[in-house]
Amino acid sequence: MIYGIIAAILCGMGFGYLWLTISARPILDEVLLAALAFMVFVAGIEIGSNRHIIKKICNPKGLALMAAIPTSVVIGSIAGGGIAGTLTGMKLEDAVLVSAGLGWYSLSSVVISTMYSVEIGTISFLTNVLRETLSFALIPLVARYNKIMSIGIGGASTMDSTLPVIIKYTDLHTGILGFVNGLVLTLLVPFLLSVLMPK
Amino acid sequence: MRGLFFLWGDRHLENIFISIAAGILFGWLDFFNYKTKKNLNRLSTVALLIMLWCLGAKIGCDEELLRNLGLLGFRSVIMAFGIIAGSLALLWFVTRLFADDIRTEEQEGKA
Repeated sequence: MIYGIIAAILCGMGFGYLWLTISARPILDEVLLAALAFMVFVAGIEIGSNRHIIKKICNPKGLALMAAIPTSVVIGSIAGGGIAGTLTGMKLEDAVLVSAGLGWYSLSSVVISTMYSVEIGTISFLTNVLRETLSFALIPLVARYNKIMSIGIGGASTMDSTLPVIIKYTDLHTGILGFVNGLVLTLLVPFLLSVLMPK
Repeated sequence: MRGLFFLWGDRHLENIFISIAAGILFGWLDFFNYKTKKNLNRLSTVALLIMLWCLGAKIGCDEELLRNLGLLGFRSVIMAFGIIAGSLALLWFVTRLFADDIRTEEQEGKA
């Protein structure tokens, strides 16, 4: 399956490069969203038909874990991205801003390039697209070693595009934690970007 | 601030929420039998591959982005790995912290 995932991305890139122009983007977006809606619908069926898992999560320890995961993903992303960015010669505040996109590339890149700098906006787009794309390949690998850790890779995307991958390679319980993680991070991104935006 | 809320819709959050809510409802009501659910799962794998293909095609058809890929790509690759490594490192501590609970849950899941 990992090979299928990588092959699909590479075939798409090759096809797009050879035969498509930028005008194909709206159609691609439509197909992408339709496929995504179907995938989260199926993920929802699985969550709904296993209500005992939802009941099991709703206890003090479960709720603490639900809060601890997004908290550590935010701190880890910003610290890791800040260190990595400064190593490549970026300003710390720029690197932190890019990391605060938390994998939500469409929002972070538009906000950063319109409110701050086009160059940093482009880096934010590429970094966060890479984070989501790498997640598809890395989640199955990390999940073999530690299920909870596989949630952290995708960032905000664990509530939609990478959620089906998490459920497939771990279990439903981890999938629900992933969904909550993605939801919390998605709500945090606009707030983090406006706080961390250099004046 | 209004601009940010406008962009929130950009991710088609409503669509996602409606789809997942509909899925949970159908699952809760046991609307589909086992065989249908199995087939839906297979279709969802196909949908994943279609989605990834489109994601790749979106990058491939954007010549400006491909040109920038070389220029800014290096920084982005290093940053993406740094971000993922940072998240994984902190989550490792969380799994140590909650180790006992996670283990009992896994054992219950197997039982």
